[in-house]
Amino acid sequence: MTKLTDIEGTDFTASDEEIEAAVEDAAADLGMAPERVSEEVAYILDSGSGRVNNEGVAGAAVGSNADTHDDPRLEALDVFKLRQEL
Amino acid sequence: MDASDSTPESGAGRIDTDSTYYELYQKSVELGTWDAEKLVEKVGFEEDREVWESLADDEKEQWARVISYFIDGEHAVAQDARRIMTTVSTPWFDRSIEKEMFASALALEEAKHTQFFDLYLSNVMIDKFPQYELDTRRGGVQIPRTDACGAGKMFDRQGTLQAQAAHGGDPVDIARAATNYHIGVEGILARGGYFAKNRMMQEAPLTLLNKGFQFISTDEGRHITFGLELLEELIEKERQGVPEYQGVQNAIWEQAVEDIGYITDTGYFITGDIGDPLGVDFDDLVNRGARLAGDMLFDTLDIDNAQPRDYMQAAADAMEEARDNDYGEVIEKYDHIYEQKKQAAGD
Ligand SMILES: [Fe+2]
Ligand SMILES: [Fe+2]
Repeated sequence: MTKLTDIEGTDFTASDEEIEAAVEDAAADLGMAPERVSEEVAYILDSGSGRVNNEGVAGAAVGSNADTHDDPRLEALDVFKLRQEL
Repeated sequence: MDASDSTPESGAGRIDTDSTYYELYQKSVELGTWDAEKLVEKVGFEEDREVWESLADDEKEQWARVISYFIDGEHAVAQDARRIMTTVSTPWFDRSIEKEMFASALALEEAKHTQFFDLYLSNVMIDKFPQYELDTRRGGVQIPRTDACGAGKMFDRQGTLQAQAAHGGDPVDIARAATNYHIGVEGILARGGYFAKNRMMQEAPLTLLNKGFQFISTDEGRHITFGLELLEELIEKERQGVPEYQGVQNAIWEQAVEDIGYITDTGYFITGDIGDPLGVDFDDLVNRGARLAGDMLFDTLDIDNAQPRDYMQAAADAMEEARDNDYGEVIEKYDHIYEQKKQAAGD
């Protein structure tokens, strides 16, 4: 299972520290372990393959989500947070 | 063995929790069980309706062409999912329960994707789909736009191939069906669609639609991984020299080359044919598709005796043909047929 900061991808704009901080915030909000959140979000992006192959999330540069700066990892974290509410 | 050894962490009895198929299944349970109704309720249609109403007619038409093939495609893959459940339980595979577990998750997810697009189309885009209601009541008749382009033919083909694979098919039939479904439809046609929607969203940000696409594409990632795993298993047996599996790689290649024609045609239909008002760029789309195909066929499956040149030639031929195609005429023909059916149904 891949950690979010170990995943390979090209359109990353955020630093690993920013990613880790965002994961920790989300984990605290969701009452989950950060490692678990990191794994789930990585899986959203790579479906177990170790590299980003979900352009449906990764490239969703809608421009309307100022929180993610279009970094696919932060976009995927948003997807995971919303998924937990559904 | 001491009974105290069998904690949940150390795995279960008859289910192999180390299997990739089990991991895929478990991820489907964790990530793929989102509720389409709740998503729609939570985000709401209002914002999307506003954006939709602000679009010019040709921009609406471009979205309608993309969404037509998505809803008909999701409907088609949902219908064929039961055949995949049958196929993976045949003796051509090792009869592991994990594959069947995942196939059941896939079936649920495809039904949900159909549900999402059905809700979206009916509540936001219905002005571009006057016969839509009739189509669904008739049990999945394709929308005229889908029928007019390669996607329609590809979904018909998918039904045939999946039926052949499930009903007494051999490994070569199974390889063909899996290539068409997981590489062609899910791996290139749908992912090419995500590429297109990302570009179109820049001009026309339909928030709810994008959220739906994000969840759906996440589910699709697992379906594609599953399909590639199945194909790797078949290829492995062929390489080991098992007689019944000879010809698997050839079938994969032949099917991939056939499918790229349908896919390229669909790509042109949603872009160049209508002047690409929302700026997808047909050439970029084709390049993206070729990249995805290369990753799956060459990097992941590493199939023997496949010439990338044949593949590019098939795509180029389809491009040439697409440019001369009069899709509007076909759509009108189908529109006319549906209009008559609608009137008949109303009487
Ligand atoms: Fe789907
Ligand atoms: Fe799928």
